[in-house]
Amino acid sequence: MEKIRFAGLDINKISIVQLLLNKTMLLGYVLLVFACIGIYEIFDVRYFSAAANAHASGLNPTDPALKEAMRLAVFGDVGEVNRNIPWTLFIVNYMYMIYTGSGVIFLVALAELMNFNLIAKAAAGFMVIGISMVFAGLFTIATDLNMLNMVWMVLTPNLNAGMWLMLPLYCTYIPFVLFEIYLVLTHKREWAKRLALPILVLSIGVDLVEYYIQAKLFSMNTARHLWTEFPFLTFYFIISAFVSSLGIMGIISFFAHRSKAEYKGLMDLIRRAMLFFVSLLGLYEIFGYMTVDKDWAFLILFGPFRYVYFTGYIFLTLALPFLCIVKARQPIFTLVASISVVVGGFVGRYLFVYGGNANPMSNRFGLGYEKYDFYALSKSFNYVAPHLGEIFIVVGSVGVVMVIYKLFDTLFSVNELREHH
Amino acid sequence: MKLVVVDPRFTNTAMHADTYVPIRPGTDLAFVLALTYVAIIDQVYNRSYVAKNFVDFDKYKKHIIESEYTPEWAEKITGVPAATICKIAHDFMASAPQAVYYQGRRTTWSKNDFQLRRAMALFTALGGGIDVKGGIVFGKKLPLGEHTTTAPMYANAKPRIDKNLAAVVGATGTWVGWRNMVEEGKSPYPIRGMFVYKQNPMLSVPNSAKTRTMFEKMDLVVVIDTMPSDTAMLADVILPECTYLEREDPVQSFAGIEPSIAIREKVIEPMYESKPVNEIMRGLAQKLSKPLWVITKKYDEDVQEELEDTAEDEFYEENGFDLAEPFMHDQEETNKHMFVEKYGEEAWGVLREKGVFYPNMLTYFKKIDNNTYEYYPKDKKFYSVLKLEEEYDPVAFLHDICVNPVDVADLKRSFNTPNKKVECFLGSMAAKGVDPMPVWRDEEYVNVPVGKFKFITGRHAQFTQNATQNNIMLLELMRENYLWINDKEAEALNIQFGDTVEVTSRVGHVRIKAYPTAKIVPQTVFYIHGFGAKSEGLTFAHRNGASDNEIIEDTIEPVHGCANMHETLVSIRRV
Amino acid sequence: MNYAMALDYQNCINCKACEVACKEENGVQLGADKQRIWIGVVEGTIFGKPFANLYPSQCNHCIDAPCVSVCPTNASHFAQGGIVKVDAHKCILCKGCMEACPYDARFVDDTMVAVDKCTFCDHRSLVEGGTTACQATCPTKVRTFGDLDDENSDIVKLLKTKRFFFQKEYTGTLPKLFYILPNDETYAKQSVSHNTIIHTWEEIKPMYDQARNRRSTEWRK
Repeated sequence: MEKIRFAGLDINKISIVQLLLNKTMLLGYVLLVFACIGIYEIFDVRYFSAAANAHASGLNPTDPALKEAMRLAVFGDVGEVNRNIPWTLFIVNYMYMIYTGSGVIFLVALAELMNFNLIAKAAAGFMVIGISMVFAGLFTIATDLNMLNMVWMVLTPNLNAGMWLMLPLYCTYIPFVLFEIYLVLTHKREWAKRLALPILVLSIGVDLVEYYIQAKLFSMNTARHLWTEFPFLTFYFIISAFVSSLGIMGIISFFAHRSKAEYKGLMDLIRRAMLFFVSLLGLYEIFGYMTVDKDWAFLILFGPFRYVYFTGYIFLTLALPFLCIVKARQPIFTLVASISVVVGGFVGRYLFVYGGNANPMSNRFGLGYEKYDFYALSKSFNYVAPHLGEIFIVVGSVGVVMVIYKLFDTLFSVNELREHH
Repeated sequence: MKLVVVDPRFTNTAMHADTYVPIRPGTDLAFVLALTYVAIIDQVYNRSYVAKNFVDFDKYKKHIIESEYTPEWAEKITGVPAATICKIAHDFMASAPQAVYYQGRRTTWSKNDFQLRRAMALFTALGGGIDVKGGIVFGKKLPLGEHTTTAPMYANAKPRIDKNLAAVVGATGTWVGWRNMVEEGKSPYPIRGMFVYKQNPMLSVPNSAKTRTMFEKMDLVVVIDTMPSDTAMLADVILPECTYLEREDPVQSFAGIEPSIAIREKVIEPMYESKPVNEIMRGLAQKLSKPLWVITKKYDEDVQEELEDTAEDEFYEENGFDLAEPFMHDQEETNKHMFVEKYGEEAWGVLREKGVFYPNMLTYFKKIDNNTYEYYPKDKKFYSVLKLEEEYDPVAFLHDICVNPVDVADLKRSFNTPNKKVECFLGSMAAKGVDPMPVWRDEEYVNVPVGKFKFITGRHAQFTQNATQNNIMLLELMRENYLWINDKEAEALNIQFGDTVEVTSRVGHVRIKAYPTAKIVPQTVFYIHGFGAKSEGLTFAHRNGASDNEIIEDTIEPVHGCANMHETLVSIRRV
Repeated sequence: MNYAMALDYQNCINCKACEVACKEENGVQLGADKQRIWIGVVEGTIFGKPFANLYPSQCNHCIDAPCVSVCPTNASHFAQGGIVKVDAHKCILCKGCMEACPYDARFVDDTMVAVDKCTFCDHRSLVEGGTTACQATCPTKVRTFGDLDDENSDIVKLLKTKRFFFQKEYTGTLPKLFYILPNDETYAKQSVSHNTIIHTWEEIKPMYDQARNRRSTEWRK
């Protein structure tokens, strides 16, 4: 293919049509359409629904549509955000995409440092999938926030808030990673070689800081004991992220490298790393819940979440992958394990977020969960199923990953194995 | 202060009680008679008070003792342990005269209701707690001037059709009795038209089905209301009244320990085509007076006779046949006239500004803090208002706050009764076939067969009758009414919280959600009044919850004819 | 100035007047979940006898409010007297404050597109003789709003004569809703858990003053 040289990079010369309308991109667009529908639905329910605006609109008493909206407001549920479960699928997907994506980037950096050459050869592709997932996570959260007021993050920041630290974090992290990708792709090898080690070390440092800030985000919520009492939350996030990240790497390897000679070796490397981290995660799961407040632990281990926990999470993230990868076999087993941990990892994040909100705050006096009128049952378990809009946005975020990855790949051929050093 | 609540339900009041006494509905009279028995037998009642202020007490005492209204007897009927009854009687008398058996609210509960209230009042009186601080107080009523109008006299006017439906039917009659006569066609003269003002009989009176057929039978039903209530929807003509914010209401004098006069002023002009009732009546009367006068002249012999001597116009005006005459003044003018006559112009200014007035208000009123206000100083409150017999100095005894209430109770008073005393034996009632003293009659009690329930009704603090049924501010806090059913019985019937059940009585059936709870005694169910409207004009009340009067049977209390609200038997099934 | 509220909750009769007054006074969005203040109910049976505890609740305006610590844009902030408020125009709806609050005091007001909660009616309560809408309407004198720093205020005079406790004190947020221990012994035993610490004014004042000094630099005028 013809290439254009620009700033040390080899850019593929291709037509706009090839760039924007190839099969992968089209599939990505379809998923993005889902996202758009989801955004429309969420916004409509949250801000524009008649029921959400019913009270002030009561000033026009003869309008039948408004009467209906007021009736919905009084007898139904108004608005989209449930006060008992503020963080929902948006946060789940945000966590999943960002932690997994950052995990891939972290693992690649570690691999290069520890001279796992096969990984280093495929670094470009892995890092691009990582950054795509980070973008997808940020996309998900952007649909949840009121972006019109984001300027106040800069104008009146609260520097101690975990939530605020996201801003400088990703403003630094993303350019940094893009620069790392550039270093992998660039022809200016002398230059790249000299920067390689310091950038690598910095990269690991930044990644650790990132996971620390993410853990701070959750552990600052003193009321949600699942998050505050889970031991060493930073490391829990890192280890659980690594498991899914290795799964992503396995899947990417299947799509990008299965016809190459290095495939078997690459997959075996991924297999061994996954085995290590799955085992570590398994140990963590066993001991982690011992320190968590029993009210929360009970809901997840023996309560309404137990089916999702054991079949959706333990089985898919730990048991099945372990069985597949405990012995060195054909790469297909690693692939099955990879798919399993990718799905199971998402379930794990779902349990973490929904589990944290599952124990109601209404036991304020230590005498039982309160209800808000006699004619109600007091709830000992909070759960609201995600709205269709949220699910569509999550599906759409996969499209974001696909589109960004494919764009990089079409322009820079990140799927190619590159010699390192 | 000690509070004892006797109720089939563990109400919000019961929650704050020192003692909650669950009781079978309809058995309160047995309870009170047993309390009286204990007070008499154990001689803990206020003997000096009784000696000075009762008449025929020996008859009552004999009756109570000979009827053997013992606590053990009452326990079998009411379900209240005998020991509890004894203790309450002793505690009550120990606190007397500052002990009250609260008279109760809401139209009658059961057939023996008159005797029940009488027995309650007598029991309080036995402690001396009448017209004294801490007892039953009558309070003082501040006078208002008169606004007189002449009422026309018609020769052919007949007495109320319901006059004989009970022993002593009062001036306001008996609605259920009256309605049943009209609906069943038993009225002595045809009643073909009806004006309904502010009331909503479809929802507020037992046996809604009969109310509906009564309205449907009539030729003309005119409803004056602010809301499209169920009754308004059955009207031939609706004359919309504006709400209280759009009109001036009659000035009211509120009697009590701290009496006051209050006024409700208009804040905006009436909206759309609604009018205050004063104007509606004026307008109607202006149109109807002359045509009705023509009919009167044709059939009324007394009027015909008078017209032989007097000029027609003069007679018409002076004898009240101009039906618009009482409504010619604006309410504000009438209010001013009634108020200024007694209190003067300056006070009128204060009333308009503050909305409330009582003599010396500006000097008496104090704000202590955001939760406490003093309206009258302690020594100026009207706890005792009855005329004392001559030997006592009212100032020395009634307005000196250092005097012990027990001593105040013991003074000889003039009660507003024929004998000027507390009357234990009502000979006038005996003449009408009513027991002159409270008697428990087993045959009056409605027994609850196995598998059925007695239905009782009531309120929650935030809803006002059925007037607030369409109010979104209240409905968003409590969307619909629920059926209270004893939790153990609910379990036996496999009914859980939120299940829809059908409640069926002899006169109707409703569907409602269930609320199994330990807060109601067995064989009894309850749900609050004011829900279940069928009017489509009420957006939020339409088919929301269940109406109690749809299932309440229409029996009346035999002494005064009020509706018995707590004697309906129902069956429950899950749907 | 350090604003707080004392709740003599044994007087509460669940009439809902405070809930309605709050919503109307502050124009809160229509909807059952959109409550700034509410009455929490715990009911059941003790040895077969029914009981019910009524707990008037709202935002505690904690001195160490976790909702203020986590807000990225300082939309959730301390106003004068330590009243915790939300600047609706700065709220990005990250809902971190809703997650941080141990008392479920916050909710999303869709008409304001921001998170909303009790503000101690600071548009009417801070003037001489003024008070919150809920206190003004309560028929049974449950509520007393006032300034903890003013020795002559109703709330300090009340707290000096009573013992009191807090909701979820173990969260360490230093809440300023003072629940007065019922003088009825039965109700006190029934409505206060044995883990709850009962306080007196002499004991709590120095601790709260210290915390106030520590945080009041953040309190906007």
